[in-house]
Amino acid sequence: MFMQASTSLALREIVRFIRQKNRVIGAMATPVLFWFLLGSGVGRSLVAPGFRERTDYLTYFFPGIVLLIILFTAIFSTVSVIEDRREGFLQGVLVAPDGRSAILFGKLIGGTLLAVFQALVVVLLAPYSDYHPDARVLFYLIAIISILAVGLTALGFLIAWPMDSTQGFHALINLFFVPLWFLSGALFPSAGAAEWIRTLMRLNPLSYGHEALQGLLATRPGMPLPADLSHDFSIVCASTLLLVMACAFQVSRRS
Amino acid sequence: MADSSLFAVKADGVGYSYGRKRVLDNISFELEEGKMFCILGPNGSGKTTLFKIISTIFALQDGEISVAGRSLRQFPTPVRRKLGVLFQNPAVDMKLTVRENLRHHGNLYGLDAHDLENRINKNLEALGVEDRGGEMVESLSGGLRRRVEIAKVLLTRPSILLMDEPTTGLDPAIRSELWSILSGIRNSRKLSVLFTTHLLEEAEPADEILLLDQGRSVASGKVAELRSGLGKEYVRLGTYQPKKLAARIRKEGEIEVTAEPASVKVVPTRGLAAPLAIKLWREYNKEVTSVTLCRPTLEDLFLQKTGRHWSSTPGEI
Repeated sequence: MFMQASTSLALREIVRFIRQKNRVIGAMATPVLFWFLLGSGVGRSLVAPGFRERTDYLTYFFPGIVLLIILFTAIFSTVSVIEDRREGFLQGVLVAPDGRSAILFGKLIGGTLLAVFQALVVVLLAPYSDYHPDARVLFYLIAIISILAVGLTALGFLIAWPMDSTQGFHALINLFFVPLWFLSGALFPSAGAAEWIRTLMRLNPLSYGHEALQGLLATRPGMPLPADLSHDFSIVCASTLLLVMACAFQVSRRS
Repeated sequence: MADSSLFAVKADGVGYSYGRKRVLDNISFELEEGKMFCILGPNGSGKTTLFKIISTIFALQDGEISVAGRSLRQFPTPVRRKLGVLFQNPAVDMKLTVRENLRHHGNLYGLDAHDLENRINKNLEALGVEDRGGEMVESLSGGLRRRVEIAKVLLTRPSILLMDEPTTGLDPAIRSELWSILSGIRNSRKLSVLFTTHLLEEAEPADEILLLDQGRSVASGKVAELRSGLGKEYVRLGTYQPKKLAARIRKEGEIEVTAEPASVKVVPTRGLAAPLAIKLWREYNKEVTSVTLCRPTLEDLFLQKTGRHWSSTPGEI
């Protein structure tokens, strides 16, 4: 019954997403546009340590954009928690027998499916940035994207749950999510950064997600998988698990 | 505790605070099975807080509540299965169709898919919205949204229907239509009903009421009994100059006269109100715009218990 409730809520997320066309634009078109403009704009102007030889910024920036899509989708699907609360829909769920955990898992499943779908659509652009993922790499890509999506959706949920205004949520997002993304290696490699930034990047779990994405995308057919992959996966998994547990604790509390 | 199973809802000494602010204090009441119970109170009286506690949205702080004989504190999940909850703001998804909303609700309660479709059809028909199934909820009027919500809530066959200000935002015609639909459903499904309202006239049909003011219970019981405790029938004279008229009528003797905003209330201390009404109508014909023969109302009850007029309490916009 719990699965039926969660699935129904997840399905609702997807139906709502499809019916609100502007959300598709917000979560997918915006990052792709960023990538194209910023990537082409910077081009080969910067050659930083850690860049592969003859790499232009369009290529460097690509894994970061995949990460940004997951991030945006997570934000959009958790901002709906606040809308649901304000419009009254959430109350109806909260009085259902397992409503509290069902809404959490519904949002997590729904947000993750949307993020994976959108990230995969963008991964189809990978060959244009000199990446050529094969089936094996694609499998690991889907895995890391899914785990990242669960984690980031959980983080958004954790922030959105106690809030009653979307403006407040966006303010926190700018303060919290965006620096998290900046400091993941999405925009610049840690190799050339100031020492304190490098420390922050090492502490940022998202860096390991970015590293995994970058490493996987750079794996050409026939090459072995990146050496750090299991290390990256375990850090991302552990962070995700912690966030989901924090969410579960939060929804179980009644005022 | 054996006798508590006779009650759909039984509350005992319920209290609630937001931080240091006490918003409910020592509230007790009983809703008998199959009856209709009204929590009546002006804005800020604590009725919505009480509603949220009973509907399991808020945790129960002080006191005890049992629903169909089970403790709400110990068994919130089985209690939730018994309840059908209608909130002030419709708990429907505007971006989904009527049917999708109902289907979704059934899934939340784990209803079997085939059974669910049957129930959806039956309920949409019972609420007269069977032809709206494919429409987006956001395209429906306020009254129709309410009906859809009732159809939704009844899908799980609750034994107790909880409603928080169910007619808020609806115009009077739709309001009375909704009440007649609800009373039909109540009879056919043997539902116990508990609702809150700040509208005195909506409380009248209830079997019992609980009158709340500033988080405290000021009166409770059967409407008729509460009324009979309030004393006699009286006469209300409509007038443009209540003070002046009251001063003149006071000279009559054997009556109590009160000047109110656009009327004068005259209570006979001896004899009946009806002959007094005729007498006053004849004698003060020029100053009086209307004569009404009144039974004490819940408004009088509120005045007697709190010393304030119902209309002077902050209204809900």
